[in-house]
Amino acid sequence: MKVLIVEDEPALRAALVEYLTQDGFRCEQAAGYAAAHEKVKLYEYDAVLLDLTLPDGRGLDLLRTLKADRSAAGVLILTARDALADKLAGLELGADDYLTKPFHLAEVSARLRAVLRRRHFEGQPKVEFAGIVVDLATTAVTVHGQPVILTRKQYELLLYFLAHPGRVLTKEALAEHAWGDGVDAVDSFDFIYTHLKNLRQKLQEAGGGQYLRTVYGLGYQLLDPDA
Amino acid sequence: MKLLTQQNRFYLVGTLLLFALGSVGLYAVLGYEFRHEVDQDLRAEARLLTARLRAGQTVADADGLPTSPTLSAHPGLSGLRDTLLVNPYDSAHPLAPYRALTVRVITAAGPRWLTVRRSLLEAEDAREITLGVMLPLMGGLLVALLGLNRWLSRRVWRPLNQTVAQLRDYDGHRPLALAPTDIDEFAILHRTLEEMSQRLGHEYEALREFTENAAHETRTPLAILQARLEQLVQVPGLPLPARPLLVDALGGVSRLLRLYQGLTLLSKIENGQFAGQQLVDLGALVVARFTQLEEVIADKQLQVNAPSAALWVSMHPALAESLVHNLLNNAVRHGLPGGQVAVMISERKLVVSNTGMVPEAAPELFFQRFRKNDAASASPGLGLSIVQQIARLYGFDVSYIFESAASLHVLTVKV
Repeated sequence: MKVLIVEDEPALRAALVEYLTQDGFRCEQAAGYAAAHEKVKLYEYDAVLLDLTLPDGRGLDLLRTLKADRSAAGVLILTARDALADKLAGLELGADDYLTKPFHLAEVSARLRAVLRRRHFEGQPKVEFAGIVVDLATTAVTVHGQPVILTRKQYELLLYFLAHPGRVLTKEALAEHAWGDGVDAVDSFDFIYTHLKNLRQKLQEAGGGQYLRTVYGLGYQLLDPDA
Repeated sequence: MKLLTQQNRFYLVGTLLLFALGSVGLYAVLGYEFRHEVDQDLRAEARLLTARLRAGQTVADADGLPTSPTLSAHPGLSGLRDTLLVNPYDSAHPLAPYRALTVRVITAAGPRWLTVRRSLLEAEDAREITLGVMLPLMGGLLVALLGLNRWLSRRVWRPLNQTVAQLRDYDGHRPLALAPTDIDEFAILHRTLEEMSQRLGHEYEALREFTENAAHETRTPLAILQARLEQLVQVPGLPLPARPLLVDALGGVSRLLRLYQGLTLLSKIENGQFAGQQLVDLGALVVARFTQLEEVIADKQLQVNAPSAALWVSMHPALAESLVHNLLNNAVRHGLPGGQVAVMISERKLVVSNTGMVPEAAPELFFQRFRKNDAASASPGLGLSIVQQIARLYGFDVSYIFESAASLHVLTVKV
């Protein structure tokens, strides 16, 4: 999957490129409007990560160019401006999703995957990892063929893990993904622990072994128990 | 009261008063004039008769009619006077008012007192006829003037009314464009208002741009910090002592972000950047929020008591959401584990309460920015300030009390 990362801030661009490359994306980068414009005119991308504020032009213009060219690329907007108008304009122009900085890298990767899934629906809408199969259309989950019944939040957490096999996900990133700004209502993210414990137990009872590992002092990761 | 109504009211009262005064005046003047006329006639008659008497002619008709002059040898009171005499013409009114003039005449036979009389009834009749014509005429004129004044005022004040209507809808964001007018005063008013609105618009734009730029300049480094720290989390075999440092650093970033989001929201509300209202059901938002917080509530074993009810309010949807989120987040966050969280919706009131610890300061102080009961809490302490700011924007009334008997924190929003 080929992704163009348009971001003028070198450190952030580097972080995105490195993280997404490790997640299996083929990343190309552009530091400004002109470079990005040239690239989208020359090459085909599956997705474009687009910063709206560029030193030499507006990200929204690039979005217009993509739409005018009938590009098949999914567009995920990244912006440091939190004006509602920008968000609406972006989505109206045909962007697939929108993230405000700062963001969790895992969230960018998960949203990017979701965008690509929606764009290229020809493939089976299923996510698989070491015996776990999630049917995105019916939200049915099986482990080695055994059906597993999950709550809504457990399902969301599992999908998030499946988008990042092997990655260490912090409690905070997990909570913010599943509860959004509801995390403002909690003083600590420890409540996440109960949900992960239950999820882990359900996967295990279905004969799956230890999928979710606790990474001491950091968070959790999804690993193939047989690996 | 409307300017036009006020003006019409004054005008009506004024003209009615003038009309009444005018009528009374007219009545008096006519009375005086007619009497004066009668007096003149009497004097002329007396002069003529005196001359005749002096010439030795007789004057007295013996027909006995009240208007016939009489001559008496008895001394009488000289001069003009009003008197009532038997009225031979109208039996319904046996006595009629008369004007009489008595003069002393030296005749050949000695001094005589000549009295001439005129009926005042005719003068009265003439006065009534005149008034009967004049008063309706004046009344008609008055009504016509009132109508004319109404029409004229409406016409003259129309530009002002239009300006007022435009000002009422003015949000302070863009310069005003008022309709041109050829009335000098209105032209000056329009120019002044337009200039003021331009300044307001500039200030609004400047502040908006500032918050946008501040957003960009703050969010970008935060994004770098967070992304780089998250990459660090992924480094395999990270030494154990480094891990808590990393997690603390990440926690710091997210606290900064939350602080920053709260402050931007507050300054945006203050700058009036949430224009546009629509009807929003706060009751539905409460239900949605509780659903979202389901797991958090279960984890804290909170008893939620929130009978569903609708509360329709006209406000910006994003602010309605923020209001409900902050109120419920506050209750859930500060609710004691195992305690109660209740939301009661009545006529025009939203009451959110939770059992909690005794506050360390007077409850209303928690509306201040950065005011927290627990200084070590990761929350920036802006939630209630945001609630208050939103309430202020829409003229809602917010109060916060602590009922010590039930150890209950009660926040009431009257919409």
